[in-house]
Amino acid sequence: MQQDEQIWLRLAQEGDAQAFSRLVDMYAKPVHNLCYRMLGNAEDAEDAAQEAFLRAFKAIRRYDPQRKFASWLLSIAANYCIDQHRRNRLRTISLDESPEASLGDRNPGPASTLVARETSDELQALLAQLEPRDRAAIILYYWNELPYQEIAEQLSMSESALKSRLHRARRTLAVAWEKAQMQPAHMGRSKHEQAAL
Amino acid sequence: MSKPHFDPEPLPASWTALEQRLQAAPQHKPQAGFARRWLARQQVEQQRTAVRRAWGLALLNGTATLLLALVLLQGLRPLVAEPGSTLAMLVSYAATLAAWVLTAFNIIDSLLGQVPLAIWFFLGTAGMAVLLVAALLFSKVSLIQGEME
Repeated sequence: MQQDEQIWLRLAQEGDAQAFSRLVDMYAKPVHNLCYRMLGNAEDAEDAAQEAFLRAFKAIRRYDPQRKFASWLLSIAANYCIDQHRRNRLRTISLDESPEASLGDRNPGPASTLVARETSDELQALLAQLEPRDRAAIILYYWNELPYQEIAEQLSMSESALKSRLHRARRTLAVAWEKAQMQPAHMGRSKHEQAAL
Repeated sequence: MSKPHFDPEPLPASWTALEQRLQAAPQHKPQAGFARRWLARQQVEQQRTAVRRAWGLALLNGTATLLLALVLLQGLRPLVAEPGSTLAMLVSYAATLAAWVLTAFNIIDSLLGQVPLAIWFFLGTAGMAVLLVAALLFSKVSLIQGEME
C-alpha cells in the first residue's frame, strides 16, 4: 500500500491526475471528516474536501516526500477550512439547533444508527463552540490521531502554544457539555423522541 | 533561569466522559464516488484555467497590436501631412544606404582578391575538418541520449 502510494505520488508529481485520484480515494475519508467537523455540514464539507484535494494537486510539485503525505494533505484541508471560516463567518451551530447533516444516510435507520447520529450531532454542536484553529487542533488530535508536533506544524504554531490551545479547547468543550447535560430537552433527547412526546 | 511553569486550570470532571465520546466518534464518510467527482471537477478546473490563460494571451496580444498600430500611425503621420517632402527624405535615406552597401562590398572584394591561393586552400580544408568533427560529435551525443532514454 505504502509502495502504491509512492508510485501514485510520483506520477501525480509528473501531472497525472488519474494517479492523484487514487490518492483522493485513499484519503477521502479523513479529509472529508476534517472538513465536516470544521464546517458543520455535509455539503460544505464535500465542497471543501474537493477544493483541498484540488489545491493539493496544484501544489504537488512542491510536496516534500520526507514529510508524511497524509499530514501534508490534512494541513491543506485544515487551513482551507480555517480560511473559509474567516471569509464567510459561517453560520455557527448553536447547542439548541443541531446540524442537518448526519452520518451518510438521512433516513432514520436502526436504533444504533440513530444513537450514533445523535452523538455525532451533539459533538458537532459542541465543536461549533470553538474557534476555528482550536477546532482544527481538536479534530486533528482526536479524529486523525496526529502527534502534537505534526499538528503544531500544520497549524503554524509552537508545540507549547498548541498544548495550551488544546487545554483551553477541552475546557470550553467540557463546560458546554455540562451545560447541555443540564438541558436534556435540547441536547440529550433526539428529534424523534421530542416529536413522539 | 528556568522557564515559568505552565499550570493550567484543571479540566471539569465531565471532561473524561466527553473525551471518551470524542475518541469513540466515527469519521464522517463522504458519499460514494468522491474520487470520480474530484476527477471531473479537476478537468473542469483545468479547462477553466486553459480558457483563462488563452484570454490573458489574447488580451496581451491585442494590447501589443494596438500599441504597435498607434506607434505606426504616429510614424506615418508626416507622410499623410506632407507626402512630397517625406517621400523625398525616404528616397534620400534609401540611396545613402545603398551607397554604403556598395562601398562595403567593394572593400571586401578587394581584400579577398589579395589573399593568396594557398591560404584559400588551407581555409577550405580546415572548414571541412571542423564540419566533420562537429558531425561526429553530434552523432555520438545523440547515441548517448538514446541509450539513456
